[in-house]
Amino acid sequence: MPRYAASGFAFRDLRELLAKANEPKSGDQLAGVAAASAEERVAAKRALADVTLARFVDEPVIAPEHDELTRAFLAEQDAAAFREIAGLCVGELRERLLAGAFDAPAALASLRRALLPEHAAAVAKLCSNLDLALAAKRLPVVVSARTTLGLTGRLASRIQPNHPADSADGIRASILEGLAYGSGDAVIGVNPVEDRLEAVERTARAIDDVMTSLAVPTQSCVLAHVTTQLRAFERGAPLDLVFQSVAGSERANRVFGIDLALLDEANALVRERGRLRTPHVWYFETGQGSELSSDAHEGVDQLTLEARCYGVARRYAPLLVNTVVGFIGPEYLYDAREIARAALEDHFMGKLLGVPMGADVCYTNHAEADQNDLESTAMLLAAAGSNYFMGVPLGDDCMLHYQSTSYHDVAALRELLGLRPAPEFEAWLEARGLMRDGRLTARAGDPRALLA
Amino acid sequence: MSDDELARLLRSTPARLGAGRAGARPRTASALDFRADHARARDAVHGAWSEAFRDELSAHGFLFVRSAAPDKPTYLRRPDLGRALADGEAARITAARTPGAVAQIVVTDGLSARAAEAQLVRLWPTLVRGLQKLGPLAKPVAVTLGRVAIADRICEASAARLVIQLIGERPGLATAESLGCYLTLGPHAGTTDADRKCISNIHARGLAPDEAGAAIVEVCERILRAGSSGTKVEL
Repeated sequence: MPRYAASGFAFRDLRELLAKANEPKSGDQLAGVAAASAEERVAAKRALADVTLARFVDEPVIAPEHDELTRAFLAEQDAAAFREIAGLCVGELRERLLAGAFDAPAALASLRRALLPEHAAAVAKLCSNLDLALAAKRLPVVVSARTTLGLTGRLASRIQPNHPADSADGIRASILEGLAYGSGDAVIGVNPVEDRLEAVERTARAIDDVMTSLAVPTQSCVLAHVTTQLRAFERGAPLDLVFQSVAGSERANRVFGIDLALLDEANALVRERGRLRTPHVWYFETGQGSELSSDAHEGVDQLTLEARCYGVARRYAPLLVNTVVGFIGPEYLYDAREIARAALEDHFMGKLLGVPMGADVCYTNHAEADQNDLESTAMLLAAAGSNYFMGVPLGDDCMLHYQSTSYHDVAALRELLGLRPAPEFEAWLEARGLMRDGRLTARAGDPRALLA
Repeated sequence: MSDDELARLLRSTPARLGAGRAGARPRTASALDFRADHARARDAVHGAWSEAFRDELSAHGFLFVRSAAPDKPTYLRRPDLGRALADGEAARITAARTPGAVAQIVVTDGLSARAAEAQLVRLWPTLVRGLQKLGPLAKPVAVTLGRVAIADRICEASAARLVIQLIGERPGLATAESLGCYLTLGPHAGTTDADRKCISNIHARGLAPDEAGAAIVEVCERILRAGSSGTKVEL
């Protein structure tokens, strides 16, 4: 017997209903879980709008006995806070979010403790793109390390100074130019080519040399596998943040070589041995489609699985979380339209769950997208209040071979929307003569300005 | 740090540094250079092998087969179709099989048809000469709209011991002509990417194609000695 129905369409369970309520995505079609027609899609949205939030607790989309993430989410949910909203329907929650019912910080904190990841996914499926942007803007997540990120009116960036052979000099060159453009307040983070301890340590030192010699208020990170980073932390490498890619099912995380026990262990070790004195020592990356690409999607749509990634991330009170939207390829997000939609969804869901969301707005050369599309999506997300973007030299990552936002783009978005860097970083830029009243000065953009 | 030191740092990376600024935007020439490189990558993704290249493959004795993907847009959306042979193709490969073949060479357009076209001619002589020392070779197969795992199906059909697949890699802005090589011993239905060795970045500014042929043969020898091409086996 189908449990859910609307407009003449029936859906056998919540998992199917959630999947079919999604906006069109090539990945859901590839997984065979997408709605078969535009009308079925809207019927699923209608039926979903009338489902109570309590229903999601009774009917987990991935059974707890098969998935440690589901077990963790249910165990961590604040039952008292949830009782206040359990009777709401998804459609009502959407309206309350848009009407600002949770604008008071205490109300928002309580809501976040009550929500499961799947609740966030369900609301996102009922939202238009402008809904997603507007609602997210009301859900700030402010976190601090050496810089404070997520404040209203601020936009930070990661310098991503990757090099195809992990050259320390090449990495330094990219960092210096990034700083000269006012990038780098979220983190200076390198994706290493080699996932080896010595390579991680060498790259950590290259980043730290620049940070220390120029007294840059920011964080360092080398995005190797978490187990490699842990050994570097143990040996006292000059690292601030610990990084890991996460997925939204237990099986997909195992393909990444992680589980919650490993993350818990890393969490304890980095808090004890790391040099950053803040509760926020993690950096996570996510992206719709990674579970399907690992053949571990459990019949769940990619948006719902993405929300579950944020459920994993928030256990560890991270400083940075970003979707790498557009990296995975056209079989999951076919074109610029699907990428832009996913970017807005991911940012909204993360913020609703209390995760300090930024975004790697990007595309690969086999996706139906180009630089104009990337810039459009970055403008949308900046307007929605994204905590940070990537800063890649001219947007061309010469190691990972994809295009992301550039140092120029970050500066341009700040100018366009009147946004400023993180306050500590802005003060540093002013002291270095690179910024005045929130605008780049004439000498900005040239690394020689830093070396005088 | 001196200007000389800075210049040295800048030379040490292919990153697009020094693009200059017009306000918060790149200089016009920098922006257009970027667009030109992206255009080359896009054309490589959407291109197909030229008639001249197909003639060259025919001259080398290649058998041409198709994947189950009917066209490029479907190929991009449906990797599963690119991993499967079109109906009837396996039988054609089996009909052309060489009994006791040690190696099956497969050339695939992948995400850049230009890659095989640019690199194969320089890689081919050393590759074939080296492999022939290991034993008889299966009739080489050229497959269009294929993904990595399609070579498993081809090797099953030809019953060779080892398959060597040369496939166009996803174009970056630095090069649109990079070829990858995947080596799989005894592929079967349960084979995964963990069962393959990979040699990537075969192009003029990466692993030079002249050297790549010999490098591939060397890895083949080690795989045959080790009896495995799995990533867990150190070669």
